[in-house]
Amino acid sequence: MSHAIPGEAATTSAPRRSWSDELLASLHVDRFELCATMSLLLLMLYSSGALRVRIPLTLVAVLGLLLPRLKREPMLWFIAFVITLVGTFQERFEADNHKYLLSYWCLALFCAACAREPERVLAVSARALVGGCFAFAVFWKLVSEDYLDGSFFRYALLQDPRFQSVGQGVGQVTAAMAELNTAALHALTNYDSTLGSVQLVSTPAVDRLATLMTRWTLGIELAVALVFLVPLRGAVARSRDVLLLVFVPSTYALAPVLGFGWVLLIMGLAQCEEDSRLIPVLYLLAFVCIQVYRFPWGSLLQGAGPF
Amino acid sequence: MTESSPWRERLLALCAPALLVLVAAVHLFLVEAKGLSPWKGGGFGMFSTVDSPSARFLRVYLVEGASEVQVRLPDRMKDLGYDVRVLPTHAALEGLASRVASGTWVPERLASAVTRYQTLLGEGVEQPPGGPEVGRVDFMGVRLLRMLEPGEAPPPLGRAHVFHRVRVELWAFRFEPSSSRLVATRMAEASVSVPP
Repeated sequence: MSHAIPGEAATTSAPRRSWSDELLASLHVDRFELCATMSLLLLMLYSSGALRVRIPLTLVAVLGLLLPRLKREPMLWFIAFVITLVGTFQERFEADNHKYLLSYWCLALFCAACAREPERVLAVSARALVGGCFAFAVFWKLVSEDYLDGSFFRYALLQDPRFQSVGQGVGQVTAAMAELNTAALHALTNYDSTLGSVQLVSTPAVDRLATLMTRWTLGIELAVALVFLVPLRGAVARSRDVLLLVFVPSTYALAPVLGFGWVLLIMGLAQCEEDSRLIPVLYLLAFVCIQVYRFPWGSLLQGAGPF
Repeated sequence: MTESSPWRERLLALCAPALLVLVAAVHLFLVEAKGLSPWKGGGFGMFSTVDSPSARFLRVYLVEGASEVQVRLPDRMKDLGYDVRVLPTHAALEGLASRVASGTWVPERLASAVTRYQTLLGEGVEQPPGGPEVGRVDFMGVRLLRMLEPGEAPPPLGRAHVFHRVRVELWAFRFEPSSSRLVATRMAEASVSVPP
């Protein structure tokens, strides 16, 4: 046991840093560890609904969070990769796309943990993964028969439960119109139906909103795909982070697939420039703040209380 | 620890993106060649089209001569039905039709919650409320049939619905923007005979 001499500590030890300094230091010094921690939270909260996947992944995540040195162990990420891969393969035609992305991300973490410069390897993987998934998303929108003319969002605003609150709140679809649209869909798709078509009721506001959403989504996804795939440096490279930080909060406010939002934010943080001070903080803030989207804001838009 | 070469580092960095591209390429093939819904299968085609699995639906017919009855898939076959809707291969559609054809279909039993509860409480087993004579239940003009559950006692003679063929149709609707209509078209169809 050592005994400090009064007055000596003040002159020899570093001055106590504020929490914000601590945060900034951890964001910049150990990016891999921070991304690993966020990824373990992601695995714990948004991995899969299937218990055969969820339980082992939760165990892996808890172990990684309790024993911080495990975060740098390739074996931890290899196990997570195998579990997510097997789980995704078993549900390959049911799983949402972000479950696939989560699996690729575990592989990226494993590869980075095996590398001599984990941060750098993780950054390259993250940039390519974001660019790749956005490029394919843009591809499908461009070749789709019913995206560019606004049909998809018009339909979604009238029928998709994720967008119906916006359709009613902003698109001026009344409750009676919504009820008729729901009845029309059931009449067409119910097992005893013999109908070949049904009429939906819409509003001009829905048409305008659908056009806006179509252009916005395609535009920002195309921009993200380009800036993440094209090798850019310096100030131009920062546009990657700006675009991703605009995309995630704006998109997942409407379609709250928070697991998707989280994995994109972690990958964004992993790839952002090392000398950037503000951007990592914004990624971290967005990571925390998009949890607010779990609140049923849609019911407020529709005029009903959320509880 | 051995020194890592730049090539090793680059390969490590590109493993995950390569897997993404590989899966997305398989997805592209399955969409084009097999009718997979662009929303599913890891190709990032979600929110690009109305053609999600929920825009595809099944119509199942029990056919006897010129007469046919549309039936609802039993709950235990919902997963199979979903698989057919997502990736509608002919084999999957035929497999679904065979499963439907191998079942015994009987008139649906209708009972209020109170009646059902009191019947179970009083007799320990559920009885059809109409008695064994009921051969056909029409509910608001719809013929209601259900498939017997595995292990369920066979119906009294003459109560099972007679059919010789099953036809399963997969339909999908699209949104017609000029008229705001949902228009359904038949994507695929399979027909199987009832096994002897």
